Amino acid sequence: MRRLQQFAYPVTAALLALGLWYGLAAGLGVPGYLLPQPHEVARAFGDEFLTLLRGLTTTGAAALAGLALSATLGLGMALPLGASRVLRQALYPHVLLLQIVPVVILTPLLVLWLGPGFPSVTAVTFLITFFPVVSNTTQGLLATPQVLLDLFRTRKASKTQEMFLLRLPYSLPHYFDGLRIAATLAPVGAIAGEFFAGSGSGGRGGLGYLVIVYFSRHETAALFATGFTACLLGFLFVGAVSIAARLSLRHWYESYRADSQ
Amino acid sequence: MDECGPYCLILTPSPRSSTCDPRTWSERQREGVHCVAALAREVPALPRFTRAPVRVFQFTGKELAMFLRFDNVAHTYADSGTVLDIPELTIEEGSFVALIGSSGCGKSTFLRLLSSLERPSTGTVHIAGAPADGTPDSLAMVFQEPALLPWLTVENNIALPFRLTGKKRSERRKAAERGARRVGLADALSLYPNQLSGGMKMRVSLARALATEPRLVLLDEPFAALDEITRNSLNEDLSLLHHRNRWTTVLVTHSVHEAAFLADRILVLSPRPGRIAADLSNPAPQPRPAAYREDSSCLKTVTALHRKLREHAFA
Repeated sequence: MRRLQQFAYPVTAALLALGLWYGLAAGLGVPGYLLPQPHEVARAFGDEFLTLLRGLTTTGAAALAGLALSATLGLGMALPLGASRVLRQALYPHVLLLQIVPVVILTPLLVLWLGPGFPSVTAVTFLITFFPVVSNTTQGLLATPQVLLDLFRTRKASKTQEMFLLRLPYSLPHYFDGLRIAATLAPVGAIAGEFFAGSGSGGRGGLGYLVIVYFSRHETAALFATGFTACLLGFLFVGAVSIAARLSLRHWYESYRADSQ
Repeated sequence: MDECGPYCLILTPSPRSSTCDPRTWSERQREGVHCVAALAREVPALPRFTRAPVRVFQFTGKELAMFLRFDNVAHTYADSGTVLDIPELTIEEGSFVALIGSSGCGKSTFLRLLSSLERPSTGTVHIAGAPADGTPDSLAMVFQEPALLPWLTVENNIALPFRLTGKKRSERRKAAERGARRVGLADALSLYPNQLSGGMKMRVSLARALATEPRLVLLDEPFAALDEITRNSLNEDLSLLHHRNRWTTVLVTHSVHEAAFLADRILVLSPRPGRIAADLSNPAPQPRPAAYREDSSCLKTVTALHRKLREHAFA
């Protein structure tokens, strides 16, 4: 029953939104180049299917590479931050800076340094997804309950044992929370990167590049279709992270266990 | 028997008095006498007494060396002032001591000092004759929460202390099986903590503590979060485990009944700064079965304890 609700509620909300959309576009007579009707978007989706699919794989590959970099380097960065107060105070503001600097300012620089295409798009994705992973994992490493730290201390555990047998596994749920946020940001980062760096990679422009193309041609319906494709990419990413989290944490909580049964 | 080795039992009315005839052990025990160890060769009738709840004390000259000793110990926290003030306290090896008092009277601090999780601001805590300097190997602490690692099975949780000391997998497995069996969880080795009830989690926590064969067991309100039925059953198990393994046990508790049921000696702490306001003894033999709860000596201790708490702990 709950599963049915989980499915039925968002679908109902989506159908209502679709109705509202039709009402706005057709009922108020908004012209198609401003707000295409849903069926026009569906048609554009069909017409541009192969182009969009190619865009999806190009953007998806760069986003995935960026996310993978964040998942590994973010964890690597969080370890020293979680282990030492001095390092945390010295480095954390700079990690935060990476998140604060608008990525559109860094992107042209990355294109200059790495050249257009996959490497710089990956780098942009990495920059935008790195912080949530580092920040959440560091919080997780610091959130280890005192009673478990006391247990390790009364058993004379070394600092290394405390980190790898206690703090690190304990931070896993936080790590996956960070990764889930990063997964929603990865397609955004990749598409933003492609505005600058998407062209010139052997004609394989990603979704970001397609946005520029469709915009210049005033193909609003195709723009909408690109938007939905980007959403699909985001859903795929978040879904993949959620499955990984569920598999890794299935012994932790009742909720994970209940779902797997 | 084997724990006694070359020692035998010599009974004394109190730890500090002279020795007396071992043959009257069972009578003496009822009177609350203590048992100390001396050279075995001197008393040939040893085997007759080893089934009794034996507590082995080192006998050094005329003075007993106490297992735990607090020497002018006071502990102060920067934000809350002095929480504990114990000028002098000794605890015998093998005894079961309960610590009771109002919240914030320094009961947990007492255990943290014994386990070297904290150093006293002044004074010295001695364990087995030496100043406590880092947690001793022979100490096991059981916390208010089960403190299990959710990503490890029951087996690996019990074997955690052995993993930390780099023991081989086969040894860890053996230790975990032995520990689980002793708390009645032999069938639960492959389960994860989230599949266990609160009582079972606490049993795992106990098993982890006793798997290391400790000499000193510190219990920080371990059963406070459990329902009364589970708590009673765990108390009975604990009494048996304490007796069989000859731990020196220090239990912090809020429950008068728990203290009276389990402990040989009950220390009542005054409100902050915690001082020992009363020192009661309950000489009933260990282990104590469930029926002991209705025993007159248990009920008498409960009454005495209530009175002491009224006088001291809520001043």
